Amino acid sequence: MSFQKKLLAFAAVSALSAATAVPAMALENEFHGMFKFMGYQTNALAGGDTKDILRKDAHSGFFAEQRARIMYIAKANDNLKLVTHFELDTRFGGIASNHNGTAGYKGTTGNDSGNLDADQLTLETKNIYLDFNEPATGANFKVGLQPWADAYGSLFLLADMTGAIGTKKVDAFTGQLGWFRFDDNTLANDITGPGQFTADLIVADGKFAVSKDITVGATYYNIQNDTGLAATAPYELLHMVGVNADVNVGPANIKPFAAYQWGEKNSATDISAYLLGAVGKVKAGPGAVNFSGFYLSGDKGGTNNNAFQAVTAGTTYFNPANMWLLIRPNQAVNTSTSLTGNDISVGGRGAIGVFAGYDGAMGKTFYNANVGYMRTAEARGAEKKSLGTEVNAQIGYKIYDNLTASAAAAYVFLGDAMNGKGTDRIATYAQTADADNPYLVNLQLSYAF
Amino acid sequence: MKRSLVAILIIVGTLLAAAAASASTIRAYIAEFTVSPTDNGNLKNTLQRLLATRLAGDGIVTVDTPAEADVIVSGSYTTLGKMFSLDAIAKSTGGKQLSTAFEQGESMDALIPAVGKISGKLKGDLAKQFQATAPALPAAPVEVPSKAPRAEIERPAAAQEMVKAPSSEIVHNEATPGWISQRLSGVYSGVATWGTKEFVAADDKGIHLYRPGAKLDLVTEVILPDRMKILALDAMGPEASGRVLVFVTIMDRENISSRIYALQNDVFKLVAEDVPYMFRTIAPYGGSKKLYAQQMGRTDDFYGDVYEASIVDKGVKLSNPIKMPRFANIFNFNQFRDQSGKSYLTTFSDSGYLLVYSDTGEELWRSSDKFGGSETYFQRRDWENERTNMTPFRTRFLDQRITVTEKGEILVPQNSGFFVLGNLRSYSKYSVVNFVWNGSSLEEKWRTKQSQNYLADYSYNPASKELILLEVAQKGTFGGKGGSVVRLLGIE
Repeated sequence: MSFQKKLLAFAAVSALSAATAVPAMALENEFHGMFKFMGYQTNALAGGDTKDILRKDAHSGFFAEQRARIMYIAKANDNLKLVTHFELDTRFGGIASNHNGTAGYKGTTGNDSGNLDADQLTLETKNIYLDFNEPATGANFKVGLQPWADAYGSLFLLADMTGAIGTKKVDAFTGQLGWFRFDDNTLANDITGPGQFTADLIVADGKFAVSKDITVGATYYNIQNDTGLAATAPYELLHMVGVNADVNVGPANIKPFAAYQWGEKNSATDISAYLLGAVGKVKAGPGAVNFSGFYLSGDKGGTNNNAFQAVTAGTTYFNPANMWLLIRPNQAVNTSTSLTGNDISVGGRGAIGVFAGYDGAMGKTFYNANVGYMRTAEARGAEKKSLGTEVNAQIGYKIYDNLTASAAAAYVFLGDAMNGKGTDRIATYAQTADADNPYLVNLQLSYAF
Repeated sequence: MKRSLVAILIIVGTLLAAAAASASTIRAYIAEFTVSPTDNGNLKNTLQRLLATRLAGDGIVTVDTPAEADVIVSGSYTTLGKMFSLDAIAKSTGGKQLSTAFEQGESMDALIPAVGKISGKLKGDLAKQFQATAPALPAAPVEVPSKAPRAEIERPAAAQEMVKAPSSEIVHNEATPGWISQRLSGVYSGVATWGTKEFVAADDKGIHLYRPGAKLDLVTEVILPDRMKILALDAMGPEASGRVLVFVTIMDRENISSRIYALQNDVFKLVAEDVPYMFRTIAPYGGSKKLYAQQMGRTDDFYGDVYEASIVDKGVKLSNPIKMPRFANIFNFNQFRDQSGKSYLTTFSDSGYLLVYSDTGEELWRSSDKFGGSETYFQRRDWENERTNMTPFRTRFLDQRITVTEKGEILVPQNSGFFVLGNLRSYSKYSVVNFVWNGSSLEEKWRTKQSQNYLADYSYNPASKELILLEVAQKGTFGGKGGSVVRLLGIE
């Protein structure tokens, strides 16, 4: 390095030191992240993300997977930040697309790096959005690829989507207006011009805190789908209005909700559907009793005009159920599916689910046990309604504040609709007649910060 | 190339000149005056102060202790008949006489001009004499052992010069060194005092009454059910009967379920439980301690205003609501006044900056460094964001108390060290910092020496001017319970 270069370097370092010494200019770096290891011994899952092997004489085996998430937030000040969130999923041993593994390391679910010697591209973009408060009005805006969840236990939609949402709080009232474009099939240089083959969600949400113990809310969601009824949102127009509340009564907390949907499935069929549900928690003994339930309207004839509509099965959840197999578990990572492939409305049949459990903690040990039952709301043809009853339990230990280890077991007593011998079963989900009762044992290490 | 070299030489030259300039500053200690025959009207302190303010400047800085000084100035005021004589003598710390000066006069009217003349003469002599004798003087005695207790407080040089004049009124209590307890097993999170030596401390098991003596003695304790997490600990009293009310803010399965205990004759008696309020005692404007309460809402962690609270028939009576500006809640605010009596509210932002709001809620000032910082948190179920965060809970950290002293100055802790911003926090060192509001910003006046522990909580006792500092010496890890210590530190 010549003397002149050294001088330049010295000047650059001095300038940098000067810049970092001025706190008002400092950009704050905020990191969050998580790592979860899951090991399964099961006869019902194979490490994929769809419904799998509900069949007679189902084989039991072991697989393991991991997920890491890294969130980096570049915070300019208390009113402005850029949020970025990335995900890295891996099944131990990698996911192959055929049994001899020669078809490459990537399988049905894409990114993985569990093959011998790793070294694959596995970084997935989850969120990238700007989060800022507008100084004049004090309203908060989030613009970009961001997570959004409905106010109905995610029975309708929980997803990462591109869009913009504004939130403004006025005393006890919080209002939200948002727009998301969750699908755009317009080609980059399409002669039709932009925005022709798109699916948009519009959100209007209001919440009012009546008192410290009571919050009531009302929502309106609208989906306009011009994508030619692609895989997402199999309808052209959907309106959904709903009300929800969050109430503390004595030792109990109850969150009831109800929503009605109408719109057009296509030019020939209208939609008229609804959902009801509630989530509750009551303090009891050293822990709390949880209960939850929902009713999703269904359709008998297969035209689905009375069936509750989600956007896709893969973007629905019902975490308060605390199930492992009947409903996908809230703790799931890469393998995130249920006996009905996450289709909570069971192919338009509608569903009724009731769930109850108890959770508590003793020092660094925590535990929970749950039971749940699900059936379809409507039966088609000779099909039965009962899907099954699940019992599960989990026990865990907090190794550090943010690192927990746990073990869980779940077992489902299949109902007639899933283990029937003939046309009484729903063949979409039960691959063969007389399917075995599914079970799983889960071992987990979870680190989050 | 040549230009760059010249520029560097200029910069280096300037730096050397600045260093040389700072090295030539004379630190003078003004001793108390002797007054004879009798000191009517506290003349000895007045004269000391008058000379200090006049002598400071032009390369001379006055200091508070002989240990810090290069020059010691002593003086006397003698009256004989109607005449007075004001005499002063400046000596080096080695005992060498550097300058003498005297002035005579007939009435008290001539006293203040006389002080001015004396200081002028001393100043001139010292500048000359000191420069001549400087090489022979010992180095500045920063590390003198007798200074150890006082070394707990570090003054920034700039602030020292600015506040020097009024600060000569501060009497530093050298007889109160920091006292450190024995190691207490467990990670403690809260401490509360009520003006006596005893205090209550909270850990993840319950609350414990300690009495400092040769060591810290555990007097009595209350063990809480495992499911309860103590968020805050405060005390009011003692009442005429000697009873102290202890307020334990508790999170029990996602709801606030606080308890109030009466402490009398070393016995905790449960007064009320499952109280749906978060409590904090604050002495706003540096006045008397008051009890405050705030509720937790279904959607808001801190619901509505903060109220002054009183306990009536085992119930809580609320009055005088205070509207919290952005970021402020019951645990992280205090109020102070400026000299004109105008009220301000101070708090920490979510990112840890110290803020000052006007009484209309307008943000007036924000620190450039971070202050406060706590590892105490509560968690609430967050179904909507569970899939995004991969944890069923949303974590909310509390922040440190802000104390306004009886002088209207502001005390805040500053936890720092390695930590990850996220749901894992791990502070490793702290100072307590004293601020003064100068009309436009909070100006740092002094800070305690950095301690190599995390400060979980603290309490200020205005009667003894002592800080009770609850430090976590070892974090709880796998198989270990962790350890804490209590430090008592006089700050004046």
